[in-house]
Amino acid sequence: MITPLRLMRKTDDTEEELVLQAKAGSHAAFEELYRMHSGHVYGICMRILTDRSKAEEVTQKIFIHAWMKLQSFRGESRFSSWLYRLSVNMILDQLKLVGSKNDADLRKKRTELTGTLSFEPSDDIRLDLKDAIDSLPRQARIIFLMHDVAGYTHEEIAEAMNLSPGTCKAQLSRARRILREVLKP
Amino acid sequence: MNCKMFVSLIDDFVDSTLAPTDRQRMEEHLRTCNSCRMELEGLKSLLAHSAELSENPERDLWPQIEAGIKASDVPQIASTEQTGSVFCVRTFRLIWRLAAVAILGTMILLAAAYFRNHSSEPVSRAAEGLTDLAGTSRNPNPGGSPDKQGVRQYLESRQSETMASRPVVPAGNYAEACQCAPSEQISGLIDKGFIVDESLPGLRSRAVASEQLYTLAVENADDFFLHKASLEKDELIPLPAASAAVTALYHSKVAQRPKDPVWTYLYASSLFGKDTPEMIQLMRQLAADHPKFPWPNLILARVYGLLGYQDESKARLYLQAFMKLCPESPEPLRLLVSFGDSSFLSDTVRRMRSNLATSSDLQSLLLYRHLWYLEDMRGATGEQFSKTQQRIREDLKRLESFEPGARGQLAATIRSGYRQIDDVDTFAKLFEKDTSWSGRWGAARLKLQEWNKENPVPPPDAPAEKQTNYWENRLRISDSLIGKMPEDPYLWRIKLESLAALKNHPQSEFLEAASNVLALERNGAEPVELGTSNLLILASLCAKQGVLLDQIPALIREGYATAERRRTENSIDLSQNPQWVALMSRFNLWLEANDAWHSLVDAYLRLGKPERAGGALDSIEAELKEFKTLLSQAQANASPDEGVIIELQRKSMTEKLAKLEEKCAAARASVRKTARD
Repeated sequence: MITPLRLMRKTDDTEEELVLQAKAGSHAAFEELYRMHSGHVYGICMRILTDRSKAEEVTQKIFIHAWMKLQSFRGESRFSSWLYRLSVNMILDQLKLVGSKNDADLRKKRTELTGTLSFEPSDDIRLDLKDAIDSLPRQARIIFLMHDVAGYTHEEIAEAMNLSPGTCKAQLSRARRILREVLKP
Repeated sequence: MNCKMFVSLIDDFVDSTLAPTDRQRMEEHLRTCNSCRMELEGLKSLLAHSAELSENPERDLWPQIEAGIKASDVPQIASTEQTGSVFCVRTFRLIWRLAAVAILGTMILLAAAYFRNHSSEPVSRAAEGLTDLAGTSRNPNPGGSPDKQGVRQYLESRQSETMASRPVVPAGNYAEACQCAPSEQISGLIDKGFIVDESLPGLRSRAVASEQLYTLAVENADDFFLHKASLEKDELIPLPAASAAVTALYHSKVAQRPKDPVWTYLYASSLFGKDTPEMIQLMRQLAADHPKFPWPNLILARVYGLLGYQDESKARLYLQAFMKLCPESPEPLRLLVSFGDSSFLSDTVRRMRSNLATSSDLQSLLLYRHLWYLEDMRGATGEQFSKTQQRIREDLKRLESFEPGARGQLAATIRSGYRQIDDVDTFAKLFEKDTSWSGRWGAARLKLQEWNKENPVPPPDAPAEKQTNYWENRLRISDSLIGKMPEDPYLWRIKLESLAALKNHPQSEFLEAASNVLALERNGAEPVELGTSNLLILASLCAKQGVLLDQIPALIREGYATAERRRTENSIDLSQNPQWVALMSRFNLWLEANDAWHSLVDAYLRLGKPERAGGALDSIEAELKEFKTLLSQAQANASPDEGVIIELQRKSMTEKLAKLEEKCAAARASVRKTARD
């Protein structure tokens, strides 16, 4: 399995040391961890929630929650994996709270984006990718982000989203296919 | 394997979840199929880019996160406010806060007077000692406002550094600074540092104490608690004028060692009242970076209790953080008066009483007066009131067992205890025994207060004999008090007022008293009232008496300029609206100057010199015009939530200006009439 998270991380030693300091109560160390990971956490929030202020609010909640839960992090996995999982859980909780209104917004946004993408292909693949992810069907989008961005297994996603692992796998495949199509030069 | 099968398994291939045989077959297919290779490259590229989905939020979210994690650090106390005593406590709090601002302002003025005339040299000496010890330049920026480079460096380095460069144990005497109280030896030195020449005036003796504590701090390896004591004195608020050179020194220390929490704390403390927002930022950073360092929490709790920065929930969080680190410290007593939550207050006061009961060092014993005030301010009645009084009496017995003498700080604390329980006789007797400057000053003021109570000012229509008797008696009491305290210009001023009212005493007597007030003022006597000037009052009295008329304009300008300079040099940024406070204080001074000018106009009119009277009126009119402009500017810039006090003050100022305009117009008419006649 590809572990994209690894690409984001500074050295393991630095992160481990920061986590230890933060667990001992250092706000400064936790701020360092925030600076290392906030971009990624916020990126996931933006992709799933597609609303800047909501994404900021949830990012804040994620880090505050992470601070409160830090004692339960036993260092068996990488901190970044732990944090991203926690992020996705909180984002999913948020989606449950937001409900159908958000879905309607997403549908609208998706239609707009599809139009944009087909007529005005961007040179910047990263910008295109963000837009393309936003244009995915909701379930496929979340599964793609959970699997390929946050590093969840199909079993874990299936449990979190109340789906069968097979459906999960199929949705991921579908998401990847759409994205590859969109991003093809 | 064909292409269709390859594409159906491509996800498992990149996810490494294929059986080894399937994987081998796919790899074989890849070698020969360009299209599937491109498909795979496309997928890998997608996944690589997915990993870079990072996107920075438009604003820094850390401050909110930090506030959130701090809130989660300190357990919340359930709020069970007892509504019965809320009004009383809040009323007292409001009064106390207003009084505190006034006291603080007076202190600053007093400090200014002293430091302008006396302190730069000794403080510089102490400062040089500090610099020499560090082996740095001898003149970092004495007396000036230090640039903030060192502090910025501290903040920036804190943000950019990695853990590899972060020292595990901070440098300097940090370990000592994390203690909740100084060692017995240092505590003894702090007490020693406060013992000064008792013949010195109150504020000057405080400044000398501060200098002595600096010297002791330097002699004792830059001991943190000695430095801290020299900055804080009684109220956790350093005297701004005192610390200009010292601020520069602490600043240079921070520049040398940007990560050192001890020097940063001292530097930040010295900014209290001068650059309070910067102080808060530094202290918050320290509290976050060094969770075992108790003192930034205490100073933050203090500042969030003050009018301009008032935020009770923040004050409480920081106070609780401090109490968590130092559960046995009585220090929180200094700032509890800012709290309105009566249940929190009563719990904490109770805890502080038990903390004090086990303390026997002088600096802790001095905190009793805060305890008494807090216990008494809830306005208890009946049995509860008697219990409070009884408890204070027991405390006083305990304190008297430590202090057999009648002088010094503990003696003053004991006196305040008797005052608190309304035992005025003992209070007065203790004052009589105290021969120090503060003791004599207090005794004189007390006598005067009693005399004022027994001798009310006769109404203007009272018979002449009654008026004369009053002023003769007032002259006698001022003479008697001057005998005990000749260095107090206020007592000379009372004598002058009496002589001016009596008219039957030789003019030489008036001139002698006037020249004494002038000499004492020019020699830097301690001003004792906020926003008043003995020189302006002297100018007014001389004009009424018709003496030294030619010198009066210069005297008015000197008095006004001196008081203005004192105010601007020592303005503090602890009020909600410093601009308004500055304008009010300038206006109050100007009212006195205005009174002096009008007395001069009247004197010239009496002498039949309308041109001169007209000249004095020109000065009044010019200033009146200036204040009207300033007031309308203030009105235009008023914020909608500036509060009822400022609103009332503005109204009163407008009314006063209107009356003064009328008075001015009437005087102008008199001048014209005299000129015509």
